[in-house]
Amino acid sequence: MEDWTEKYRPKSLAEIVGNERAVAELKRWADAWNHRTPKKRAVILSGSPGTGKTSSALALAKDYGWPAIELNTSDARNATKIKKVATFGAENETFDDNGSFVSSHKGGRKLIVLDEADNLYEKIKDNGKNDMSDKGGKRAIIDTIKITKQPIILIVNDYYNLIKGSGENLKRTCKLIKFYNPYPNSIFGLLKRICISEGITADLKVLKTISDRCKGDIRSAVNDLQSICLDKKQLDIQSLNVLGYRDKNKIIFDALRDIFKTRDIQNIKESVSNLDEDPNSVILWITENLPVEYKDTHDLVKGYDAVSKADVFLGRTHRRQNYGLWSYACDLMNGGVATAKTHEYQNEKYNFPLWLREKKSSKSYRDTRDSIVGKMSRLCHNSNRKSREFLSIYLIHMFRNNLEFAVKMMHKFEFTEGEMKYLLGENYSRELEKSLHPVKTAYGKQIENESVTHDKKEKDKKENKQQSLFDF
Amino acid sequence: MNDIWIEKYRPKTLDDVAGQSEIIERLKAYAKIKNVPHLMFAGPAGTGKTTSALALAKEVYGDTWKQNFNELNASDERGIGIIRGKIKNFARTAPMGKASFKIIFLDEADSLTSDAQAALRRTIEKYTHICRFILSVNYSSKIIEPIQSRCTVFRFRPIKADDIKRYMRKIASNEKLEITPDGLETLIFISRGDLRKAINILQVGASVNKKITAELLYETAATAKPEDVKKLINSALSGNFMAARNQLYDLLIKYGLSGEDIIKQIHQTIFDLAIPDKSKVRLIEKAGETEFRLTEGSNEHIQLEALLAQFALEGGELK
Repeated sequence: MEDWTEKYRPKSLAEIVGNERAVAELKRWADAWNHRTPKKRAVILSGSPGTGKTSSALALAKDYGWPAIELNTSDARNATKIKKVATFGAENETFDDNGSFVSSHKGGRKLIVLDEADNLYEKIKDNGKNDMSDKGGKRAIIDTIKITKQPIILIVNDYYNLIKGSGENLKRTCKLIKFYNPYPNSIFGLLKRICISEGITADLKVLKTISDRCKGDIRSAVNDLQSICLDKKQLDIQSLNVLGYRDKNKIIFDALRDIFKTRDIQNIKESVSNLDEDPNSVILWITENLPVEYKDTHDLVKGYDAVSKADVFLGRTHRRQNYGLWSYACDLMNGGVATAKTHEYQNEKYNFPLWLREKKSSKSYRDTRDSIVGKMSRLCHNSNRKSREFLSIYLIHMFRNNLEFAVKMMHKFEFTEGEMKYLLGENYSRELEKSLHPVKTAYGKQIENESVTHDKKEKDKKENKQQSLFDF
Repeated sequence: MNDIWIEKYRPKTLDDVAGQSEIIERLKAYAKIKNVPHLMFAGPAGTGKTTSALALAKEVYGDTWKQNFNELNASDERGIGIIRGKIKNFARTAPMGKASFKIIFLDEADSLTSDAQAALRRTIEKYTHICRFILSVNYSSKIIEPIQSRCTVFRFRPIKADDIKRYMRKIASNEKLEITPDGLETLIFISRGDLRKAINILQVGASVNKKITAELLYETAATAKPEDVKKLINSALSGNFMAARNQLYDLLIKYGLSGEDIIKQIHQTIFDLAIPDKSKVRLIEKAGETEFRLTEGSNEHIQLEALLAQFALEGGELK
């Protein structure tokens, strides 16, 4: 049976579900190519899986009659190969899918699509034969964009991952187009159209449930629909049972209740394996709620000892890639925590792991810190570890004690506005703004001859930066 | 104040390196004959290991030092990948200019995993004709025997008080600072032979005032001290486990400390706690077990939380 996600992949940009603004922006960029090479030769399509990024890229190619050269990083993740394939497409003439010659001299365009561009350099194969350099991939992309005469589309899930480190270059050379999760209603419409086209009579509640559950992932919604249809022509609400749609949170709460309230480790084992969750996330749920539940410190210590030992097994599993060890980790965290208690506790409320939430919410904060650290390490002959220590113990204080110094260092290390905010803190940043004029006079007198300010202004002009608190 | 002083006042030549006179004499001899064996610089932080390596490279190569000297930090990438990738790639390319070999300076080499060290051993052997290694370590014993036996080991000692004083005075006259005599003593006391630390504290002080007094230094050193670990322990000891856990998450996530950094600081802080020695010893044992499990496990925060629970228990029993 044909895969519906391919069969119903949009043939034209007009068929893209949701994301009207992104599609319009994409079109504007493509139109610019029809006149001349635009300033931003590449676009980055960023968004969650299944929101239509790849489909849009391919639909664009069809709409504009540009043959697409798709570079999926899963088969060519090696830097040299990327460069070869990409620059081949970018510099040379090629044939399109039908074998007819496409010449860029005659104005014929080819669209280079780099899918999963954010994963590319992370996947380092450690077998000693392959090239280890993870920067190679990013470099290759950056270089390709510089020289390309052809439009390039980079597709990523994690924009941050792409632009961190040496990828920062991409921020300037690429246009970012964000894809948002489409509304359930739009997906519902698509599912309905598919049903009609396949001649399936469906209970609309089924389609509604699928489109609500997929969390904006169109691909998974279509997959789900196809897997419950199989060879049926009739869909009723029972059909959904096949998908194992369950309330994930409810199920995990049930499992936690079993662990914390009962002692039957056989039963607990079953209840947890029903979860169909990776032990790496189960352990976070247990750890999060352990101190909420076990109010007696003795129980808490024993419970923690069990998760700690389980975690050791998770570490060994990960390092040796020996998934046979997982079962020990599971039994230790489930049974170990269950048997650690000496009291019955009244607690009824369980929480989502704070660790995960914090990690997620502080991501940009941490990224800023790491980029400061990177700059310091390069200039100061330090390891990142040493720089991080220097940053948090000394540099922050120097900056906050002495704004004049902060401004000078800003130029020296080319700290961005975001990085300065990190270093100075919100309050201090405002103070910097306030004291800009006195700083300007003192600073201007002192280093008139060093022409740092001059350079900075020149640079600002060149980069056409927005007016910011650092323009003075 | 126009620069980061630890960089601005990093000695440019071997003659300028503070302390370590015997080591410097030997390094100068290497520079003179323009030949260097594999070296291992062992010693505590801030005693001149990186500085000596940089100065040596400048004197051996002159203008081409940047092309022939490669600095790598093993603490950032400690796996086997760095050895087979970056290090091997640099080691096997020919030296530039008139040089007959290149130098790879591997900072914090003792944080390399044992697999990585084994791989390094082969790399050292294979490319020894065109590449020399300088390994910088805190503890030479953390480096496997076969590598140690291929290196000439130099032990860097904590910088002597007189040398630190001389250095502080030099910076002071250059930066137009006034350091009071008790300020000078304080710098020596706080830095404990770590010149980098002395310079950093001096610069934080100077960012407040041009007159460096003991009082100012203690004040700045206090803000610059990771007091948070102590706070964390005290929360746990007083039975407020959840608060301690939140503080731990802050240290790990916001401050970006590694689990290893935190456990080392916890270990040191245990001695300063107002609890009976018996309890201290018990907690040190738990801390040791935690550090061991950290290296084996996969979630640093889970291991540290387990340790905090032990602190809560100990605190509860003392009440």
